[in-house]
Amino acid sequence: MAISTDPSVWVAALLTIMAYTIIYKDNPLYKLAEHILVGLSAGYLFIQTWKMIYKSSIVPLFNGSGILFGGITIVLGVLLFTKFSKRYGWLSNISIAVLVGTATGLTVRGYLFAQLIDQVKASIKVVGNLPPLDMFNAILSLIMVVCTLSYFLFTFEQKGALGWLAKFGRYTMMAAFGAAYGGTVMTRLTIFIQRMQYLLFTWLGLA
Amino acid sequence: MAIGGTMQLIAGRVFGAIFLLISFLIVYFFMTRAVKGSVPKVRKMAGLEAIPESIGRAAETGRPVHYTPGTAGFSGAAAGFAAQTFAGLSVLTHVSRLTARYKVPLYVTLAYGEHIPLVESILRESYNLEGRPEAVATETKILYFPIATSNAPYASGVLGLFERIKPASNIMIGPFYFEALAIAEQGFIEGAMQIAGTAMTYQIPFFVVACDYTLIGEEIFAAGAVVSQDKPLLGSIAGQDIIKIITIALLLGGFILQNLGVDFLSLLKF
Repeated sequence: MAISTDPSVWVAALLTIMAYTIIYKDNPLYKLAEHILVGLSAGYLFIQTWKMIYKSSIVPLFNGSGILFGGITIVLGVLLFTKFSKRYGWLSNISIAVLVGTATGLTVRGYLFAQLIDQVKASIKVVGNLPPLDMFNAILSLIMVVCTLSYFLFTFEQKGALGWLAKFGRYTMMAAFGAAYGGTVMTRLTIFIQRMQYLLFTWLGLA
Repeated sequence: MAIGGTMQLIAGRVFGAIFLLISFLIVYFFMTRAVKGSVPKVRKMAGLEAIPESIGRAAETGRPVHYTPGTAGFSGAAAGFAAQTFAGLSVLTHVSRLTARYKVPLYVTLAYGEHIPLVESILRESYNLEGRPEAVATETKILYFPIATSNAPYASGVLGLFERIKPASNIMIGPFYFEALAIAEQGFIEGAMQIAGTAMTYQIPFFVVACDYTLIGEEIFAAGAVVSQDKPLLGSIAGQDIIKIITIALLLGGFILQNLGVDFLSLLKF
C-alpha cells in the first residue's frame, strides 16, 4: 500500500469525498466543493469566452480582415449591457433579438435533417431480402415510429383508431425509456466505480 | 447543382429545403387562420394543468418555487436544442405570472449566460402584468451556475441550492443532460412537487421516474402555446400536426413504394 504523493491526486480525491458528503446533508465541506467547482467553471468560461471574442471579433476588427463582422458582434455584445440603464435599456432588445433569431435558425436546420428527414430515411427499408427476424424488426420499428408520431398530434382528438395508435405509441415510448433508463443507470454505476477506483487505488494505493 | 452559374444547391439538401418551405407555408396558413378566429383546440396535458396546483402548494407552505429552462446554450453543438430552451422560457412566462400573483418566491437557475437577459425580461414583464413590478427585485432570484466543460458545476449548484431553500415546487422544462436525474432526485428528497419536460430522449426516463408529472418530447413545444393561449402559437401547433401527418404519409408511402421497387429513398436524398 502506497498512498499517492501527487498533490493533484490529493486535491481530486478530497474534492470527490467532499462532494459525496451531500449524501448525509448539506454541510460546509460540500459547500466548499460546490463553490470551488462553480468558481473554477466560471473562471474557465470567462477565459474561453474572452479568447473566442478576441480571436473572432477583436483581431479581425483591428487587422482589417473582418471589420464588418467584428464591429457588428462587438456592438451587439456591448448593447447587452445597456439593460442596466433605464433610458437605453431597450437597445439590449436588439442583441436579444439577434440571439434568439440566430438560435432559432440554427435549430430549424438541425431539427429538419437530424430529427425528421434522417429518421424517415432510416425507417424505410426494403424488407423482401431480409431474414425473417430482421424483416419483423423493420416492420415493427416502422409501426412504432408511426404510432409514436400519432401520440404527438395535439389538435386531433385521440379517439377511435387514432386513440389506439397513440396508446401503442405511448407504450412504445415507455419501452424505449425503460431501455434508456437501464443503459444510463449502468453508465452512472460505471462512473461511480471509476471514482471509487480512483480513491482506493490511485489515491490510497490499495491495489 | 448550379443555378445560373452563381448559386449552388448542395446535393442531398434539396428535398429538405422544399420540405422546409412547405412546412413554413403550412404553419403560416394555420397561424393566420388562428389570428382570424379559427383557433385550434389543443388536447390537455396533465403536467401543464398541475403547474397552478404546484405553485399554490408553494404559497400554502411558504416555500419557494424553483424553475429552470434547461442546460443548453444558443451556440455551438447545443444550438440545435435552442427550441427546447424557448419552450422552457414560454412556460416560465406562465409560471412567473402565477408566482407573482400568489406572492411566492421564485428561483430561476441558469447554466448559460445568454439566457439571463431573456429570463430577466420575462420576469419583469410577468410581474408588471400582475401589477407588482417592485416584487421582481425581492421575490425572484436568477442564479447562474456556469457550464464550461461539464454540466457538473450547474448540477452541484442546484443540489446545494435545493438543500438550502427546500423548494415546494420544482419545474424543469427544456433541454437537459446528465444533471436531469441528479436534480430531480434531490427535488424528490426535499419533498418538492416536480413537473419536468424535455425532448432529450435519454433524460425523459429519469423525469418519468423521479417527477410527479412529465411532459414528453414535443409536448414541451405545445406547452408554451397552451399556457400563453397565444392565437398564432396555437395555430402553429395545428400546422405542425399537419406536417406530422405528411411525415406519416411519407413513412408509410415510402415504405410501400420502396418495397414495390420504386426508388423512393433517392427522392429523400435529392
